[in-house]
Parts: sequence; structure tokens; C-alpha cells
Amino acid sequence: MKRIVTLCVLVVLGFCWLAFANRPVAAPYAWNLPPGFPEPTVPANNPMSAVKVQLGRHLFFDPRLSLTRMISCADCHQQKFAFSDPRILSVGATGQFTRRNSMTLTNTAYNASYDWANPNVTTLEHQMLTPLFGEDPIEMGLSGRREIVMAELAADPLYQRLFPAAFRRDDDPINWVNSMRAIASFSRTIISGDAPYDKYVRGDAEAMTESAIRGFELFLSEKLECFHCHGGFNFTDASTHERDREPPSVFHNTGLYNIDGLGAYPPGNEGLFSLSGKPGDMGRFKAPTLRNIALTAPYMHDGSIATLDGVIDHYQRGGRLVENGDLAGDGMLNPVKSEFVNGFELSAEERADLLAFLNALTDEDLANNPDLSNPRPELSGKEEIHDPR
Amino acid sequence: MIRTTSNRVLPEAAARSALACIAASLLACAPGGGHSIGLEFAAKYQGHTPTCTSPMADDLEMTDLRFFVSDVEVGNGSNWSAASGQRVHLLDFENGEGSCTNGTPAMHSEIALNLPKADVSALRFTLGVPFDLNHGDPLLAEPPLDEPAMFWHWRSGHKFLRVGVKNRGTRWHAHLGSVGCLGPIAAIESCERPNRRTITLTGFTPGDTIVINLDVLLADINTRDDASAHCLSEADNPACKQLGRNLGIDFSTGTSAGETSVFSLAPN
Repeated sequence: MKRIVTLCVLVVLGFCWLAFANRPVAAPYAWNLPPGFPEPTVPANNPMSAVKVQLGRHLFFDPRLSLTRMISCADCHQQKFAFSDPRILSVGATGQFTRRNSMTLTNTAYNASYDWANPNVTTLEHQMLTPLFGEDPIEMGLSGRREIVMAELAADPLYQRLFPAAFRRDDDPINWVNSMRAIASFSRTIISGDAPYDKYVRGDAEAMTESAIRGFELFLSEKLECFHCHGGFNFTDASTHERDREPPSVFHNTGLYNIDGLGAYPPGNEGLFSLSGKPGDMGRFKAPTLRNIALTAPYMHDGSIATLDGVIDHYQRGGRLVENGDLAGDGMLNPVKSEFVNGFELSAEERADLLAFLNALTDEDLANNPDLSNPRPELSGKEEIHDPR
Repeated sequence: MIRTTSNRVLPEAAARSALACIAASLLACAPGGGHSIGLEFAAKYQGHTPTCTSPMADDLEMTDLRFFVSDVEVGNGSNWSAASGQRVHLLDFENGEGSCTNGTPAMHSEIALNLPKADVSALRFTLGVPFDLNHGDPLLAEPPLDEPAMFWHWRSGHKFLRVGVKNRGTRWHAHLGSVGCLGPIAAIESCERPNRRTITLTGFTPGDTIVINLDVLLADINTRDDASAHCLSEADNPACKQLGRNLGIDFSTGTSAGETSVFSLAPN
């Protein structure tokens, strides 16, 4: 009997050895998250690793990923503007304008969906198809050039080293899907949680001014209703994370337009309606994070409000009045408008307090973090390179 | 696909011939003991074959022409049988040169057609990608569904047809595909308007070429003065309404409507 038990134990141990001995036990990725931040959701087929993040960082800043080899992801997602674009609309490789303002990549790992209003796109890996390959408008302009670009990257000694290190199990790791996975992994490290507001809530009473603290209270008040759409650790109701059981799918019409009196938004910028075709989805866009909001002007999906002061004007009125031109109409009367955009009274002092609070969401570390900066600025010299086509 | 009809252990000779048949099927062996031929597609405009480097007409150039064809069947008009081992085919008439920007060098105008022994007098196919293949994960897509130019990222599917022209320097294009598709990518639940069209061609003789008639496809669409009105399969877009009439698709419902002569047969 004793011998049988021993045999059983040996057999079990043997199986365990077989199961684990030859597998490198991947150390969990060290996120280095701000205190209290949950782990972001990561697609099972693209686990995080430090070397993949490094590879993605190089690709993110590499202008060879555009038709003209003149622009990289970083042109429309500039670090000093919290990875957003100070231009109202961004300009693609061929000079075409985007339809909407480039979103900040602040805490993009936590987005429940990507783009301004596309609930179908739930991963960064998929979102990237649009800027890389989209043609209407052309952004990076890689449609039809996938092989040319990959051949060029494959000839770069740095990538010959980084791709195999990041994708060890792949026989042929230098490919466009892995490129997108690496860029997604890098983008997930653009995490911001060290603003004066964060220091304040962690116990540093001096981190926010009295004015900003009053502004925080206003922000949380039922009078202003800001927090309904801009709530949670990431100041948006469109965030999710690893422990979230049901990622949100929420989009709001804030009464920016009302062209026909029935709620219409400008053609081509109709929010969720463009995808779903449902009248009730007209003008419904995602609430972006308010983290680093002072760095990400201009505002709204179309960059149509230049300053935070202007944004407060819009919400204070309960919708924007466009008096003249093709887009004329009173957004306040938009029938699809969110129930939380009803306007409010705001004194000059309260306005200053609210602005002080919004400014206290700026994380200077993000805008200056060397780990998120261009690792090869020499590639962005903007010199005209021979086009092999 | 080859099917051995029995579960019994085959005698060695039969097994050998089955193997031979499988090998031969790569070239010619087809279900029902028929054979395989090439089915050629051709683009025509006013009797000519437009290319990226030969204009369709004065001041009218082709900038793109690619489309998916699926579920090809042959028959006699009442009985049909699957005629292709592959469910979806990409037909590609641009090579990225001349007026065709954003194109790819490869072209593709022929698909393998399996003919049964029975008489064949008709052919039908779907212009588009079947629902169950249209909404897979684009990052894991296999050919021919892995071509980025045919992804329709923002609508979470594939473009079924993309056609473009340059009319006196002004560019116009149309993208046909399913719209109103909702659900996470790779798990789309349904589409409001599928926008697929079944094309049935009677009087088909094996060896015939399938012609896509650009005259018909582009008929009465103002591609010159109103270039901003590209058609992206919208219900309320004037260019789409006309394209829908030409293709036999009602973009307001996403279903077939009326006849279409966009595709026709040309004898060998």
C-alpha cells in the first residue's frame, strides 16, 4: 500500500514537472500603477512585457509607418499635450484633415471603447486599424503599403533585435499584426495618476489650493452634474479595468448642435448615429477623461471650443447656440440631449474655482516622462526620403 | 472537397486511387465527378477594359475596383450546387499604378470553378462577404479577408465592393458593405442593413467570362460635380440611392430590390 501511495505521488509530481518544467514562467508585468489604480484589461493574445513596450515605443514614434514617412503616431498624439493634438483637427500624411479632434491617450488602457463614438472597437489593437489604414480621411496612409513598410522595418537592426525579443514564440515575428500589438502595449503604459488632485486625495492637503478644493466640491455637486459622465478614478464613465464585470457602453449628446431643430449634428460628425443609424444616437459621443484636460485643448469631439472657459460656458448654458451659418441651431433645445446637461448658475468665483480644480488634474510627470518620449528623435528629421513606389 | 462515402476500410488500391484523386483534385477533381475550370471575371466600360493606366474615357479614369464574391453556385436555374471549394473570393482589378493610389500590385480576376457532371446552364453568387465571415477579428484574418484596403474598420466588417473614378481630376468613390453592425469586433451580433446582392446569371456556358459593367454600375451617378457625395452605403445619400438602383440594392432596407445588369456573361 505504502508503495502504491509513493508511486502515485511520484506520478503526480512527474506530471507537474512535465506541465511546468519546460515553460518559462512569465513574470507578471510590473505596471507601476498609481496608488489605487486598478489593472487595465489586456487582450489575452497580447500580454504586456517590458520589451514589447519598448518595441511599441519605437514604432509609435517611427515616421516610416506613414505613407510619406513624415508623420508618426506621435504627431497627432504629442507627449507635451498629454498625447493629444493642439490642432482643432489633425492632418494626415497627405494633408487631409481628420474629421474629429485627436483624443488624448492619457489612461487609454482603461477605455471601454475607442474612437469618439464606436462601441464595437474595444481594444487598442483594433482601434489602430483606422489611423494606420483608413482612407477617408487618409491618416497614416498605409493601405496598400503594408508589405513595403514591413520590409523596411525588417531591415532595421534595432527591430531585428526587438521584434524577436518581444514575440519569442513567433517564427516570423516582424509583421504588421505584431507591430500593432506592440504599439498597443506601449500605449497602455501612458498612465497618468500623479496630478495635484491625486496627491491631495492621497493625503497631501497642500497639493491643491483652497480654490481647487472648492472647485472639486462644485464638480461633485448635483448643481453642475459633471461627475455623472466624468466620474470615477479616470474622470469618465467610459472607463473599464481588469475587475470590471461589465464594461460600460455610454455615449452622450451634450447639445453642441441642433441644425434642423430635430437634433441633427453636422454630417460626418454625427456620433454613435453614424454607426448605428438610430435617430436616438444622434450626436452621442464618448465622455473623454478629464485627466490632463488643461493640456488637451481644443475641446469637444470636433475641437470646436478653444478653451476650458468656453467649455464651461457651453455647459452653463445647457447647450450651445450657433447663431449663423450652415450649423446654426440651438443645442440647448436638442431633443437627444443628455438629461444631465441642463445649465446652471455659476458665479465668477465659482467659475475660477472650477477651473482651478480642472487645472489640478494636470500630471506634469506624464508630459515629461522620459520613458514615454521619442527614443529615436533622429528618425523624425522630416527629411524627404525616397519613395520606393 | 473530396468525400469518401464509406467508413469501411478501403482496399489498398482504392485508397491509392483516393489519394490520387485528392492529389488530382488540386487541379481538376470536383464533387460529383465533374471537373474544375477557371472562371474569369473582367471589367468593362463602354466595351473597353479599363485599367489603372488606361483611362475609361476622356477625362475619366479608374482609381479602384475590388470586390468580394462568395457562395458561387452552378445549376440549371432550379437545382444548384456549390461550385467553389473556397467560400469567398477577392476580385481585384487594380495594381496600384497610374490613377490607382492606395492599391496593391497583385491583381486577381479568376477563380476556380468546380463543375458537376450534370448540365450547367446558370451561375449565381453573392456580391459580398457572408455574415459569418464578415465580422471576424481583422488582426487574425486569413486571405482573402486580410487585405486592409477591404477592411471597413469603422463599420466593423469588410467592404464588399470598392470602386473609384477620377472624373476630370475630381475623385469619387463608393464603398458597399453591411452597415449598422453592432457588437464588439469579432462578436458582432447583427447588422441593420446587410447590403448583399445575389447575382444570378442564366444562359451560362462553362468558359464564359463574368463581366462587371462599369457603365451600369456608375450610370447616372454624378461623379464629377458632386465629388463630396461619395457613397459609403448610406441610406439617404443621393449617390448611394443611384448606386443602389444600379446594383439592385435598396440601401434604406439593405436588401435586394429589382433587377441589375451590373454583371453579365460574355461568351468565350
